[in-house]
Amino acid sequence: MLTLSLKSHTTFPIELSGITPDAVRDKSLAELEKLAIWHGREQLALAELFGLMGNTADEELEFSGDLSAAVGVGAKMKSGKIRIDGHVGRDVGLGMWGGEIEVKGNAGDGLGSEMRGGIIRVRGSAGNFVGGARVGSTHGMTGGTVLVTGNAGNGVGCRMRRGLIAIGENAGELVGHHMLAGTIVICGTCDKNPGAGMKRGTICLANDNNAQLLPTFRYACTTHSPVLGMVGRRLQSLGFENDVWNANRQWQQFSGDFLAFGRGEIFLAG
Amino acid sequence: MIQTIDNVTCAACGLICEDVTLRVDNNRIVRVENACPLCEARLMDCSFDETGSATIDGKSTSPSAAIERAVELLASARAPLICGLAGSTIETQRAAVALADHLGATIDPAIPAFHRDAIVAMQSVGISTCTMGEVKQRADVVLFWGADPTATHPLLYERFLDPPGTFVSQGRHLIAVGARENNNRVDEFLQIDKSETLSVLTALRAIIGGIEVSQELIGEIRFEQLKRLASRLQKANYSVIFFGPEIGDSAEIEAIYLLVRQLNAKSRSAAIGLSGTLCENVLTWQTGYPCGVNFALGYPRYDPNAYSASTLLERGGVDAVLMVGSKGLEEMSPAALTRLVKLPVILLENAGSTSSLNPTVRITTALAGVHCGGTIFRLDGVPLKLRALCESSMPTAASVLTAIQEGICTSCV
Repeated sequence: MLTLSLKSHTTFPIELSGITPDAVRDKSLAELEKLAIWHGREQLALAELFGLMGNTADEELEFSGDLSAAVGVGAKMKSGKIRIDGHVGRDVGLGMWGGEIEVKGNAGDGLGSEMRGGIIRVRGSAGNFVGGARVGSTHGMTGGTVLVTGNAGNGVGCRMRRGLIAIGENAGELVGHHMLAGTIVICGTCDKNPGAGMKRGTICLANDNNAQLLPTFRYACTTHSPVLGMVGRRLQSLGFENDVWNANRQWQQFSGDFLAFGRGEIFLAG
Repeated sequence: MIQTIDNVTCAACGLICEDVTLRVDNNRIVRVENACPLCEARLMDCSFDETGSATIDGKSTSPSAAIERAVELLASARAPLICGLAGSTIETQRAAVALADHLGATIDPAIPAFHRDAIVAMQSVGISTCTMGEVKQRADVVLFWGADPTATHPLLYERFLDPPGTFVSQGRHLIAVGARENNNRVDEFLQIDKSETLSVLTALRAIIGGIEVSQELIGEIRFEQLKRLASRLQKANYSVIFFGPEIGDSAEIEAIYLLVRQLNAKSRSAAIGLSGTLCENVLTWQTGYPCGVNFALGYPRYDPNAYSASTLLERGGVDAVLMVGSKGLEEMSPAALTRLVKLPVILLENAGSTSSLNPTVRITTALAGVHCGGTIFRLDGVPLKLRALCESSMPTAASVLTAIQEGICTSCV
């Protein structure tokens, strides 16, 4: 495992998008120390900002220190594992293809945005647009899993195309905004207008029976939904505690958004 | 002797009126006629003899010394930010973009929050819009959504809505939708709960799209009222929706754009944001992106949220600020302002304006449309010329920005 310890706290952006386990696998420690990274508008050697220890043979990286200013950790990674000891900045796992990212603290905006595969676990909370699309993009995440134990900001799963997002506590407004397909599970409550403009896909608000849905959603039925039970069990198997797995739970199912395509479904606690 | 200057162009708001009359006595504007209060506040008491001033840490200095200090501050910064530019001319913006590119800085024009959301919404769903000329000649139904033009664009009615339109035979019908009735020049007002704007717009779109809605009361409006509004919009030959600062986020503006798209299926409809003069066009044609552009890596990168001046300042991602015009301060969050006062700031301020900010370097520059000419974009994107009303020795903002860039080039050699 390669450990990268941030030498001193900084609030200027550190661009870490090229430092992924698969990209640095064949590099020696000396080569890695000289690797150029951007800090603000200055290009520095990696060793000027981070203390490096270990090797990359097992495709595991561990970042320690407050990385709130780091941008794009694990972006476009294909395989391996990245562990972040504390908080981390925006665009973690942006467009990642595979592998695993684990964040012990909070993550910034754009967590797992436009990811195609792999899994991201955040023990703390996440910012806006978890698994979403970048401004102007047509698709958010198209595969993979994002698990956030704490809260999430606005626009969870904005324009998501495929994949699974689970939020352990509460989410902001516009969950699944313009969602094309995929599954979002919010274990707590969410702010106004979940599912606005959703075409297909599933949003489960596990402990919310009073969510403010748009007028273009219609009550469909009250159901036990075995599929949600399967989703819950899948989340449990990934180590994500939830109360969706119980196939005996009752759910109120709503369909919408009829202004978009109307094949989406929102499940509220029964 | 009092001198009269006719047909002066004013850049105080996004409408850019071109028929202002000025009375000038002893090289000072003593009367502003045919103008709104905003124009009067901008031009009244403006002196043609103004020579400009420069300060470093509050002490008077020469402009060249101030530029030298600005060069030092920016050249040594790790993450500089160029912001402001509200109401700036194309020439100034072009110089600011070139400087940002050269420096590797972030550049973010000070655009109102709702206008930033409108840009994001336009990139998501597109826009169907028109010029103010079309509004004047063709619009028979005008809907104001969350906007109060009597305060922000005082001459909108007089210039574009009150005169009879060539293709408006039966008069215009004006409607306002908003949280409070502040526009008494409309025929109809619908009060809504601002937090439910998206629900109301969605219901309106559903009615027009023939989708069944079962709720009786949506955002404080009865469904029947919404049906009447939808019918009015559908029956219009040419409807125009003006939206303003009460709109909360890009999802709501997207809904307005989509509503306009639906209306266009059977008649003509357009949406226009009631903002100030456009300060994103130059950045868009130079870099491809309208706001929040970062050049740190040597090429432009775009993020309207992460690279916005307020977000960068709040998160401590900036160590020197070049602000062009003090109008940008109005668009900053309180947290960003708290950070801003602790940073080295270079402020290029228009002659006649005094901001509360105490910058490290302050350089007074010529006021476009009085001391110097230039080109500016009206709120509908039409470029209009501002002319110099006098010969002035004051430096323009563009020339100061170019001098700073040249200084940085020299210091790098």
